[in-house]
Amino acid sequence: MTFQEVILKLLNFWQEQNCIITQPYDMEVGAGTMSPDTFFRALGKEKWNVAYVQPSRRPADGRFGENPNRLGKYYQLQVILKPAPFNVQDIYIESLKVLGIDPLAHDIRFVEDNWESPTLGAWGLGWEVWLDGMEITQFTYFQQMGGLPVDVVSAEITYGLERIAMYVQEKDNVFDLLWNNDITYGEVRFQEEVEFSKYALLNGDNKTLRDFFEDCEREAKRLLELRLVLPAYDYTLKCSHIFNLLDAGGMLSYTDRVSYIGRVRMLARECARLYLDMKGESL
Amino acid sequence: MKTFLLEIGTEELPAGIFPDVINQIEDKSRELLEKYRVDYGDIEVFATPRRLVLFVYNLSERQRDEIRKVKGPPKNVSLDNDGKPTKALTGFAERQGCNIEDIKFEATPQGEYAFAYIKTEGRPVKEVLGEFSKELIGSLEFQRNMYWEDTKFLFPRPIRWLLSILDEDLIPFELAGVRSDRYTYGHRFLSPKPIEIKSATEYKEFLRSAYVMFDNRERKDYILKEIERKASEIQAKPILTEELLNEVTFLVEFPFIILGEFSREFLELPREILATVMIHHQRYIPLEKDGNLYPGFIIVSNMGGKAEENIKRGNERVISARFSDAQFFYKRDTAIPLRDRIRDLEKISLPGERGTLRDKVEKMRAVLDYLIDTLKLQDIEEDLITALDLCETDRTTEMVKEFPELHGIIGGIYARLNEKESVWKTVYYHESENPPVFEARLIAIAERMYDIVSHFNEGYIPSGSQDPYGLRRSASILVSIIGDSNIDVELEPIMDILESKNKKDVWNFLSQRLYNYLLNRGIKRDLVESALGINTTSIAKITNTALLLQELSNRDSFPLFVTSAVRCYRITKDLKELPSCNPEEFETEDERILYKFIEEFPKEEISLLERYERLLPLIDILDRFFKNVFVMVDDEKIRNNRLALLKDTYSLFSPFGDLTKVEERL
Repeated sequence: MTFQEVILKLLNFWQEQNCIITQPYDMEVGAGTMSPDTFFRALGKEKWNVAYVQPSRRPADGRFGENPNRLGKYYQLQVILKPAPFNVQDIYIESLKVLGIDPLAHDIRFVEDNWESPTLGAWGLGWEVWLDGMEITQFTYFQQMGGLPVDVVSAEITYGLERIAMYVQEKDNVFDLLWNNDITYGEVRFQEEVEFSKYALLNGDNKTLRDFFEDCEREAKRLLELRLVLPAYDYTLKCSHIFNLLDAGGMLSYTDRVSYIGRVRMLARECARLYLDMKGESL
Repeated sequence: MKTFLLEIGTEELPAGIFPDVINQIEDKSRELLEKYRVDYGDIEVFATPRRLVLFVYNLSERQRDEIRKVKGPPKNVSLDNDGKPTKALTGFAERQGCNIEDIKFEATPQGEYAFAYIKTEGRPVKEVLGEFSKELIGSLEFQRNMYWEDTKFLFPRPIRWLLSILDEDLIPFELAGVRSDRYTYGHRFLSPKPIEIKSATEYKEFLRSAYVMFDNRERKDYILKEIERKASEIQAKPILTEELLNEVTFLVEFPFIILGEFSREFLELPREILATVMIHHQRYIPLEKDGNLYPGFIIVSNMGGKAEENIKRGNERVISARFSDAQFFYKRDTAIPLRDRIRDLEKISLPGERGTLRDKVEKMRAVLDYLIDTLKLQDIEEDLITALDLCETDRTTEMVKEFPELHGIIGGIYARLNEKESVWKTVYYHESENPPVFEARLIAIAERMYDIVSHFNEGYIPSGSQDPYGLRRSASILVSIIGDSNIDVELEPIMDILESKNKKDVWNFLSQRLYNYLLNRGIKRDLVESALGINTTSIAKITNTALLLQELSNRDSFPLFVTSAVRCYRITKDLKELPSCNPEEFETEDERILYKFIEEFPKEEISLLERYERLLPLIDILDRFFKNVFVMVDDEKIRNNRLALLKDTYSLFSPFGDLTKVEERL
């Protein structure tokens, strides 16, 4: 099963579960959770079922394409089920079957793993799902988003697509994955890994990034004043990514780090409040 | 006699809540059954990751009747002059719903009062078990809870079914949007369909056939036995702690023990790294053969049989990917010796006002200088300081960034490549709970004092369940390192070196840990309290005193020794300033004998045991003194002179601490 087949089969499965299928958010984000399709929709009371692939950037995890298991950018397949169905674990296990993973032929386990995003002011409880000892999915019941307790609990299912494909294709090096039958993951993405690692880990410019952060933060605040919550959130995401770049480049002291995280969290919280306020569900 | 069964069916619970939750269910069930006035024979509690199971055996049919006593009006208000009930009494009876005949008059310290005896007849147990179950589940306490449905009930993970039956009868109740029923579920994959339980007694058998080894003790024993058997097949021995065994027990409902292998080339990596990856990251059981790590591991799986080959292969691939990572880090890290990393400590900053890691090491250096000086350790100074300079350097390595829990050990392993034994071992063990190397204990004292004092300076003082920096644990380790190895140093000067802003708080905090430490060493509470009363900040001194008191407390002379000391203390404790004792003013022979005893008592330092033995004659001297001399005479001068004499006497006892604590419990 090729990498793209893994994606298509999973999306197709979730489509059949009445999820809308949206496209990746068009900005740098660290995880599928940061997409507005998750961040905002987890707030409030409305039902929301969605699945999408989200390219996720983790500049600090870049390894110049030298490490067979680590990437500075990878693909998550993100599912949000709100409210969390009673049988959500069973549905998830069904989804593995479409990848040819027969639960009777493997050891599938839900092992405690609690999720927290200090920049989003969000946390939830759940598991990492193990397939024969390998973590293939992060499963979380959201409890808080943007610093606010959620009204209705969503289940978030995040598949690590490369991990799953490596398992299914029995590859030991992510770059050897077959994207389709003719072309490998390495052919598609290797250069990107090398260059972005070189940029983030060695060549980030401290002053440019700090100035950029200030600009984006100011812009986010200005947009919040104008009650333009979605654009304000875009600039919050920018801030978060710039923070990640500063962090990856080793440009932050401990105190800097704490302070930048606090600033992004503040913006995320203001966005969450404004969003609910505009929906008339103010606290 | 009836059997009650309650099963709380959940999504996979965190392994960390076990075994505590099992004890909670048992204790709280007993409390609640008492509260609900239900008689029962025995209780059993079982648990797996997906279920908490309570059995109560030999339940009575009905609750016990309850007779409640309610106080009414006083007798003189209740009855008129003719002895007939007044309105006050009839009103009281009416409000309590009882007859006048059921009211009795009884004497109280305030006089005679009317009392109504109200009997509530016990309901059938069947009718109260629903309430009991709800209250029981709601009373369980966990570190982290979540909500997942509309009622926002809190539990560690969602509750998905409730099985609740008394013999054959369903006990209905509703909690967290789930209605209790007579269905259970077996193993998630091997027996996914609901199973109807008709009677509490058939539950165990049904569950066994549905691939659930519900009895956690049985499961644990089975896992241990099978691990040992599996290991013995290849003449290896499992490396298994109680903690790991517990954890794997609560990660499966039906254990399969599978042997996996990895390539020998990874054995070049230090065994600590291999073991950490296997244990902490994968929950595998490492193996040992002829004293060396064996290139294999044991998986405690929740599935097996035909799946075994897949599971083995999958886990083997995961571990070799993880080991390849570690190998990659090891190669990069060892390219730069630790000594060359010392300068990088300046680049790592610490929270608050603490500056960089370099600043921390310098502070620790000042503490070590004090220790070297006080304990006369000049002969080990050079190696000790080299080790100190290296002990934080592993924080700059990739390995420690990946496995922060190995800080210290990694430093030791890397230091082993270039440094001599006394240095690398000190680095290796300085973070350990129980460092086997003396030098490592000294660094541990410096570092843990630094951690505690600097956090206290910044206002992070643990209170209640709030202890985010684990200072209690750190303090406990500090106390046991010093207490076990009998390193006799005053800690107050160390607090001064570290610029403590709240020395009293720090010492109180440490005393708390010391108190627990001494109790754990089997010393009686009152003796511990007494020893903590010595005027010192030396943990070793207090420990030695407590140990000696424990020994002395078995002697026949001990109770009289204590009462003698306490008599001197009690009579003088409220006096602030006294003129010193003047022998010219003695009026009795007993005063002179006592005075002479004090004068002749050795002024130089003597061992505590010797002091005890030399003080023994005082028992008789004091006994006669108190019999023959009246201290509290009207003449102030004579009175004060006698009190001063007793105060001087008491000071001979002060190295034993606060003996009043012992006297209270004699």
